[in-house]
Amino acid sequence: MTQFAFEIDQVSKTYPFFALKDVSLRLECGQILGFIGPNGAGKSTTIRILMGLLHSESGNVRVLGLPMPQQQVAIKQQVGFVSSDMQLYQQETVEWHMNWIAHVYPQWDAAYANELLKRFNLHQPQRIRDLSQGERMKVLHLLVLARRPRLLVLDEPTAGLDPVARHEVLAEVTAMMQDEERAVLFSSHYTQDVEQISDQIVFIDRGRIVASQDRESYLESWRRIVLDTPLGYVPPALRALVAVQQTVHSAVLTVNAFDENLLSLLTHGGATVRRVETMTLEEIFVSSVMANRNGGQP
Amino acid sequence: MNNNLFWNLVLKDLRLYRIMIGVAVAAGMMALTLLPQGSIAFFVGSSLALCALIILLITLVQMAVIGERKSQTHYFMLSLPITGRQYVFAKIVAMAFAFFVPWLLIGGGALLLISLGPVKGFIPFAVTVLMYFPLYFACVIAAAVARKAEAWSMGVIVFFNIAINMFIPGLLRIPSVATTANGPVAIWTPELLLVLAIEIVTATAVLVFALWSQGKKTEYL
Repeated sequence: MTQFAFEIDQVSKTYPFFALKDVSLRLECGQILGFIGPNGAGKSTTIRILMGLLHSESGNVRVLGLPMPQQQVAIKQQVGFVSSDMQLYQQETVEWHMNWIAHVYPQWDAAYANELLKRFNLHQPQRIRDLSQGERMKVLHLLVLARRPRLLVLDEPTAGLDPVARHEVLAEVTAMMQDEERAVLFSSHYTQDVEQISDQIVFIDRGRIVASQDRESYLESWRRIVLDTPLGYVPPALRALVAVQQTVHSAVLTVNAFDENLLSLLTHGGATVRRVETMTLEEIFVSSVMANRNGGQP
Repeated sequence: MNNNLFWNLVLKDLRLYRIMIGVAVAAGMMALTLLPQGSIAFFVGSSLALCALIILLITLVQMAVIGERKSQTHYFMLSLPITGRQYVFAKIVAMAFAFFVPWLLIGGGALLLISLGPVKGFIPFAVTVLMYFPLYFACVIAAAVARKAEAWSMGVIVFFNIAINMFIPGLLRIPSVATTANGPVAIWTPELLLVLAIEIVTATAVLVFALWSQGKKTEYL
């Protein structure tokens, strides 16, 4: 039987100018889920509901097999949560935070914490207020990773980090996944980061899940097809066709269920394929969101 | 309830604000040394002691409750194994220790000095004035934890700071208080007992309401 790190089922939450509508999301143990969405899409709201910081109006949330928010104390003992919105105590040192968290979590791995200090180039006597934003994020990651959580929830964890620091943090997150029991929910604007480490990808926009698939399927099924077209070319009405950009003699078609047979359907009436391009996750994400907003099939 | 984390949160706040608490106690104690020095010094000393308590209370609420919310450190704390309600309860308990220990030391010191002097009739009045602070504490902490908007807490602080300037002269205008406050014997008049009862009951009710309302909350950020 599949073990889920968390299950969000038909969750809704309404605000005056925003609503999260019937969001369902699951993450299997041993997997990394990339959660992507534009600003204000509902990523943080979903994560806050997952962490018991907001209560949903409807639907159910289970984390590590326990109901949230009812069992949030037991759940949070095994969940590490980092958000770019979080702050530590400015006047206190890295060491003070480490000692304090070590008191709270019996499973605190002091040796690993010291190892992370070295890898992240942090020093215990440093005060938080004297650190850069990137270094503060590294301290947050250290405080969470050294607890050895079964589920790691990261809300924009690489915000404010330089490329080297991003690499260091992502490497630690990936290293944590060597244990098949663990799982990571990774929410980010940086689709490159998500593409790099995620097994599953979920797109959210305007409070709704737009698409959800494993990373390989996304990258395999989406293509941009550039056609040389005769005058008056009209692309066929196919479900796989997500977007069309047309000039007089050419057309760029974006498809979300590519296979070789599709090319023969698109080249009716004298059109010829100039090239077929693979797409990055960012391009797929933008196309999905725009298709969804235009009422199409993402 | 995670008792270990609960008390860790309380001790954390006491440690974070220990200097502020220490400064308030030191200022209050210095003010108390003026009390036996004559009537003008008594007025100056008691005013300074009350100011030390008021500044401590305002600063504690501003930094530990409102400041923690504004700086988003509470977001980190709420990610730990504790419910939002328990976090707020721990915050109230920490603030109560941080405020009432100095309040007891300064207030107790003042009462001791008064009781050693010839005007023991002043004790019931002084106790009633000191009991203004639990009510002030309860209302300002309730506003700070119940409402995200800082304006509510500021409104309560402004109200109580203005009200104390009417409360003290108002008490002294009660005829039975006016006639007994300068006497050699402490007399607990029914009017003072009524004011004391109102202070204690209102403070308790406000705190109970603040805690109860936390259980109804669906958002802790």
